[in-house]
Amino acid sequence: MITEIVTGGRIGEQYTRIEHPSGLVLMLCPMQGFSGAYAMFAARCGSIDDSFRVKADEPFTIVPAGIAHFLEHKLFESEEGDAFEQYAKTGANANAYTSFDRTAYLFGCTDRFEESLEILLNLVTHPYFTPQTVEKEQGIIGQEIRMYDDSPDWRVFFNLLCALYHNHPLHTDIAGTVESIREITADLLYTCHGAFYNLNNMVLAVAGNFEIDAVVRACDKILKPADPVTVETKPVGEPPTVVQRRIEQTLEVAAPLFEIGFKGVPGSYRENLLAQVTGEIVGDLLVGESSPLYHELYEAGLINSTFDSEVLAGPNYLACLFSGESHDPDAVFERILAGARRLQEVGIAPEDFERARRAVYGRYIGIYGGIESTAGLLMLAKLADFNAYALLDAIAQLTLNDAQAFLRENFDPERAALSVIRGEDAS
Amino acid sequence: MTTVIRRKQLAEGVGFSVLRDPKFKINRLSVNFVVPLSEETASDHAMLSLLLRKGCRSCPDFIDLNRKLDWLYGASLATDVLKLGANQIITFSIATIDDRFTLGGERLVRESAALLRSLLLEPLIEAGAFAEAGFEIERQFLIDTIEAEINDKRAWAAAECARLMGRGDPASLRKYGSLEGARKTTPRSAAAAWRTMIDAARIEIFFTGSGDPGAAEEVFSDAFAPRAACGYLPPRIVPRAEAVQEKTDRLEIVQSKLVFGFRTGERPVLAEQSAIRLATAILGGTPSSKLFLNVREKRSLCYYCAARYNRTNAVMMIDSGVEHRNVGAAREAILRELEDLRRGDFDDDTMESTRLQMVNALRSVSDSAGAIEDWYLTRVLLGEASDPQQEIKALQRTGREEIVAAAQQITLDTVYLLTAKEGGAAK
Repeated sequence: MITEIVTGGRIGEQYTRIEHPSGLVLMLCPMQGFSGAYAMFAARCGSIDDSFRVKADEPFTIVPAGIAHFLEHKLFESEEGDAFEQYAKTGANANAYTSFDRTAYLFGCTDRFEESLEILLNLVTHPYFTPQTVEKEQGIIGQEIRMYDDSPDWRVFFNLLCALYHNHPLHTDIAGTVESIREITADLLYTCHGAFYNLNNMVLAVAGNFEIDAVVRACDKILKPADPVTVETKPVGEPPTVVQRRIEQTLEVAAPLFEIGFKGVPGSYRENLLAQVTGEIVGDLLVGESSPLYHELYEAGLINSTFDSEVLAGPNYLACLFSGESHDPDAVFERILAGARRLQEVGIAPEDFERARRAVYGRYIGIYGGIESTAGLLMLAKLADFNAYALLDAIAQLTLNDAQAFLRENFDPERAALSVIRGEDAS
Repeated sequence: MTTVIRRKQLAEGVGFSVLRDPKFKINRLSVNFVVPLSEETASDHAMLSLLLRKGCRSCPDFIDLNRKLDWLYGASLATDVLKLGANQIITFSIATIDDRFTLGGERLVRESAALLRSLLLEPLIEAGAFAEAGFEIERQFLIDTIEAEINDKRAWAAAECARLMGRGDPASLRKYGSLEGARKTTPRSAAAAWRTMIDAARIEIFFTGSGDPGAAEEVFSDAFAPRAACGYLPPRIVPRAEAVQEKTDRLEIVQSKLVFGFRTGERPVLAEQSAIRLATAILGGTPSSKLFLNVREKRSLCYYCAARYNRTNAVMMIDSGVEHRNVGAAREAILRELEDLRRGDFDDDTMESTRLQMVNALRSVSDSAGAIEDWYLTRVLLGEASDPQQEIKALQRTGREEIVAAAQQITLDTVYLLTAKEGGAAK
C-alpha cells in the first residue's frame, strides 16, 4: 500500500493519498472540528462516454444515450434491496449523481461512518441487474426526463450545447431520451460496469470527521483486487466550428432566458480543469460585475442580477458560458461578442488582472472550508490527475500573459452561439 | 462540535450574536431587519434589498463597489428576503476569507464591516427619494422575479397550495410581495420604507466565522438607535381542516404537479413538534419513507413525492410530480400511505432509521456557517433558547404512541393540481 501525504502550504491543510492493494486510490482528508464526514466513490464514467473499448484491437462498443445515469440508478438496488433502505439503518444521508464526465455515489453522516462506508463500497462494486428491474427503471427515468423537458434552465443549456457541438455527446441530455433508454439491457449495463467501474479507474474521496484507519479497514474487508482495465473512449472528432449561431425554443417562461457559449480549445482533462480558473478570471474581466460591459448591459436594462457565468470543463471540452434573463437576448449576445473583440484588441489592463485574480483566489479558498466541497475536489483531483491544492497555486502563479492567451484562444466571437427560451405570448 | 452562541444587545431592539468556530475559513457578517409582513410595505422592503446593494454615498458607482469587493478577495455581498411566520426579514450580508489566508496579510473584517455599514446607512437618497433611473431597473427586476416564479413549476405549485391554505392571513403573502405591489412602489415610497426600517425594525446582527468579531462589533456599536421593535408575529394557526378545498390550474407542461396541504393541530411544546416531525419524515421525508419507497419506487407513480412540516404554521405539505394519466392513481396511493401511517402501520426499524437520519441532519447544522446562522436567527426571533442538541434529545424521547397520535391529528385541507391544458400535451 503506497501512502503519500500531500500538503497545501497556503491553507495549512493536508490530505493523504493511498493506493490500496485492490487498485483503488483513496483521497482522505480528516478535518478538525467538523461533526460530519462526507464520502464520494466515483468513476470516470459520464454521459459523454457512449462509445468505448477495453482492448485496442476490438471495435468500439456503442451504448445507448443515458446509460451512465441509468447505471447509477440501478446500482442503488442490490439483491438485498434498495440501498437507501440500507443507509437508513445507519442514518446516513446518501445520494448519487451523473454528470457529463463522471458518476459519483456519496453519503454524509455524523455517526456510524464505517458501516455506511461498507454499504457504499458494496453497492458500487456489486452490480445486480435483471430484465425486470431494468424495465421498471425505464419507467422511473422516463418520468425524470419528462420533468426536465419542462425545465427552462435545463433546456436553454442543452439547446446551447446542440448549437455549439456537432458530434460531441455533450449535446445529449445526461439522462438520455425516452427512446434511447428503452434500448438499455442488463447485459449492456454489465459491460459498462466491467469497464468503467474497474477499481483501478475509480476513486474514493473522504473529508471531515473520520479516521483514515477506518477507511482502509473497510476497503480491506470489501474490495477484491482487480486487474487493471484501460478504457479507451472513441475520439469525438469535433470540429472547432459551431453548428449554428442561434437556437430558440418556446416554453412556459415569464421573461426570455438566454445562454451564450464560447466554444474553447480543449487540452487534456487536467489542463482543462486547471484552465477553468483562468476562464473564470477572464470571464470576470470581460463581463463580470466589476466590468464596464456588465454595467453597460445592466444600465440598458438588457441583463439583471440573474446574469451568471460558468466555465464548462471536462476530459475533451472547454467552453465559457454566460446565462441570464433578458427582454432582448440578441442584443446581449452582440454586445458580449463586441466586448470580447474589444478586449482582445486593447488587451487586459494589469491592474484589472490583479484585481480579478484576487477575487477568484478568495472564492477558491472557500472550497477548502466545507466537507462536501473538499471531498468533491479530492475526487476530481484523482480523476483528472492533479494535486488538490494546485488550484490555489495556479491562481497565485497565473500571469497576465496566460490570461491574454486564454482570451485569444477561448473567446473567439466566430465560435460562439446563443440559445433562447421564450414564453408563448412573447414570441 | 457544538458552536456556542454569544448574544448581546448593542441597543434596545438591536442584537449582536457571535458564532465563532475555528474550523470555518471565512467570516460572515449579516444584518437582519425584521418587520411585519404586509401587502403595503412588502414590495418596498424587497426593493431595498435590491437598491442598497447597488451603492452608497461613499461608493456611489456600482463598478467601483464591485471592484472594492474584488480587492477584498472576492467578498460576497448578498441580500435576501425571507419570511418567518408573519414577518418579513430583509438580510444584508458580507462574507470574506479569514485574514489567515490573505496573500499580503490584509485584514478584512473591519473593512468589510465598514462597507456594509455604509451601504445600509448612507443610501443614495436625495430629497426623500432614490434616483429615478436606477430605481426603474430594480423595480423591473422585482417584477420579473415575481413573474419568473412560474419557471420552477414544483416550487410554484407548492407556493400556490400554501397561499390557498392561508385564506388571506398576512403570513401567506409572498415574501417579495405581489405583482401589483411591485408595480406600485416608487423612489419615494422605498426611501420612506428605508427610514422606517433603519429607525424601527427589530435588528439582529450575526458574526459567524473563525476570525475576531471585535472589529465588526465596533463598527456597528453605534450604528442603530434604540427602538421598541415588534418581535416575532406568528401566523394564524388552524388546528383542523373543516372541508377540503380543491383547485386546478392548467399550463403547457409535460408533467403534472399534485400538492396536498394538511392541518396538524396545535403543538407549542418541543416534544409535540418532534412527534409530528417524525410522523412527516416517516411518511415522506427521507429516501426510505413510505411515499418514496411505495409510491415512487415500487409503483413508479411519481418522479418525486415528499412530505415536509412547517413548524411556524403547523402545516404539513406533500408535493409530487406525476404523469398526467397517473394523477388519480397517485392521489389515491398518497392518501392511502397517510391512512396507513395513522393506523400505526410502520415498523420499528423504519421509525429508528428515520430518527437517526433526522439526528444526523441536526448534528450537521454546525458544519456550515450559513446553516448555523439560520438556525440561531430563527431561534433568537422565536425567543427559544434551544440548540440542535436539545432538539436531538427531544427526538430521541419521542415514541411510537406519540407519533401515531400526531399522525391522527392530520386533516386534509387543500388539494392543488397544476396540469396540462385540456387537449394539450396529455401523455
